[in-house]
Amino acid sequence: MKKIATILSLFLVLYFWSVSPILAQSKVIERAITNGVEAKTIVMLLLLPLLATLVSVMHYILGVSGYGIFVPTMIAVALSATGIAGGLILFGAILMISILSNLILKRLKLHFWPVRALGLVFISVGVFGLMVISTGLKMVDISNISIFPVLFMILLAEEFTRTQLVKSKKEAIKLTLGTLGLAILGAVLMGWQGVAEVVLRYPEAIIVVTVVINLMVGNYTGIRLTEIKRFRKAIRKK
Amino acid sequence: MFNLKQYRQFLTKNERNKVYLRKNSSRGRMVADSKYKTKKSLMKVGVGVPKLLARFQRWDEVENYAWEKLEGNFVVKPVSGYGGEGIIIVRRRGKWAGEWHKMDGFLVNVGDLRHHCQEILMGKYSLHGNPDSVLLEERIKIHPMFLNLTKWGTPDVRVIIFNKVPVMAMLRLPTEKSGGKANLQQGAVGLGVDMATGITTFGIEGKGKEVEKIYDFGKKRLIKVNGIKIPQWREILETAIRCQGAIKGLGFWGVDIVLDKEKGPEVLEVNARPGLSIQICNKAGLRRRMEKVEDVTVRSSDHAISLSKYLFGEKFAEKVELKEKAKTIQSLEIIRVKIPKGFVPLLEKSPTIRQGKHRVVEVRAKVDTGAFRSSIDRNLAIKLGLLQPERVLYFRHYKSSLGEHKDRPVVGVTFWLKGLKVITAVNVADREKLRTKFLLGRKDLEGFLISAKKI
Repeated sequence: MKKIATILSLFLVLYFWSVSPILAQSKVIERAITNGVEAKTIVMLLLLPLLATLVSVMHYILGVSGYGIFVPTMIAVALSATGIAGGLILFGAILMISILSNLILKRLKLHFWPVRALGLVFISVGVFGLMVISTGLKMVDISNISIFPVLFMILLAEEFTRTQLVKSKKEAIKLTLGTLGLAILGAVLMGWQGVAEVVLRYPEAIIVVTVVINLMVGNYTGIRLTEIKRFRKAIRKK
Repeated sequence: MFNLKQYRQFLTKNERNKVYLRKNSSRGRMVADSKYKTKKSLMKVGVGVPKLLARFQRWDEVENYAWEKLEGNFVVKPVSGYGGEGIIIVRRRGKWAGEWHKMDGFLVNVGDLRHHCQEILMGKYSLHGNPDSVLLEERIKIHPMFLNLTKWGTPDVRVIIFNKVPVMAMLRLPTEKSGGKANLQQGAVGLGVDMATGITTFGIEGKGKEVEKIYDFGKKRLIKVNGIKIPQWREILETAIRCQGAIKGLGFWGVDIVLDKEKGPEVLEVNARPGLSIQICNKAGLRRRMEKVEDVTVRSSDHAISLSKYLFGEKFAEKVELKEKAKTIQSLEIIRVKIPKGFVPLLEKSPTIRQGKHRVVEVRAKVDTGAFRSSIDRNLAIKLGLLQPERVLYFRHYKSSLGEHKDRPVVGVTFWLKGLKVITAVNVADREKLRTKFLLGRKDLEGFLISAKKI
């Protein structure tokens, strides 16, 4: 299985390397841009699998992980849309509101989903309030963000409360910090001008890199970096 | 200093997920993931499980159940919960009807329980939030040996089984932090267990903090984590192996076994995705152990236990076995009888010697399996200070082998036979004319083999 993957990835690399001069300075992308597709959208779209790959590498080889693979990816996109500082403030606010609202709602002993819906009421009002305040203060501008980053942040806050309820607070904090770390890394990567240029110039290279890395990571059965620390205590001293 | 080769013995998360979990078929996983199905399949082959009181699949079943009639000794759990989440353990009835004390000391009432059941039904504790059902079962009676090791819940033994062979085990002790649950994830303490003897080795708390001492609630002080012997170890292993026959399609899995005071080992749960922290509290790698039994065709339960014992036993296992081997005694033995504190023995011939911190006297004793209780000569008893009025436990009517009827005093005696301490009650008889002044009855001969060799 491992061999097949290696051979396949080598083959793919060779194939694209020989074909890439033809695809380089990609005419398709140029045409798309002249036809009115936004360059930023193309970059985001092509970077999405690379972001997910980054998350999977971090998980399987380093052992750092967040809530699954899509939540960190989505938060990365959200952060790159709002700006990292603004996004973190937004998330902090949403998290605070949802924790506080949960504390209040827990006492009412309602069904599970009505509690969530009521929590959303608090969050919506809170985010609206935050927008109003931020326009007044003119510090970090989050008044003109679109609804999607807000939705992603709510999703993350929701994961946090769920994990905290079902598992433990420690686990929830760990996973949320992991998600935010991965997302910040992803957002930095997306905001990098050099990366955008590479994506636009060699879109096929990005795809090849993603495929090869994932085939390799997908077959990795070795130890994760964090596990070395974990198992250090399990080694008997002679 | 840093040597990556040492880590090769461990089963890593990546390898578990990619290589070993694939040895469990989807059917086996399905049974293992549902506590109800597990219980059903295990009952079929006669493996002990906690008694099922009720199972709720719909809301109205919860509503209509006669909660008030429950004795204060039950557990509410989600059928497809994992990592011990969503389990309420009730210890005893509260002051009022419909009110109970939980294992963590807090009170619950019928309303709380109903609400909790509802949350389970909604899927709050199941994987991916799917709708779930509720199990209501009897809480087991904790084995007295475990009672001292925890204040909050039921300790259990997790055994990992690969290719039908028990490869590793740990004793899991609930703590205050884990809220009475035995899951390491929740903060319970895990003690590694030697496969050959069932004696604990190392300990961790939660998912990785090493511990060297735990609190003994009986002795009211800290005790070492190593050297605790789990009772009925062989039966526990046998129970674990029998689960294999009940649930088809499992290749690498764990089973949680509790010891009931009366019914012996009972299976709480079968886990098709066992955690890896067990390697830390055993200070041993699962991967190396599993490689050893990978190609073996396991013939029987005994075969599996022998494999486990000889392949994975700790170094101290042989010593323990030697110690536990039944001691052989002759029909005439010298025993050492303890002299009560402060009493000066009235003996001329035999000297007082020391056994540890006690003063003892050597006495010749005759083994008689025909007698139930041991007996001591009246004169000797007086000389050793055993027949002081306050030491007499009670009088009992005896019929001697010669047909005499007599009321004999029964006194408490401590003696050492072949170095083993025996604390017992002995009746005082007239053995004036007999050669041996002490007769060893079968009550005090437990664990000894009697040789019929001529002396």
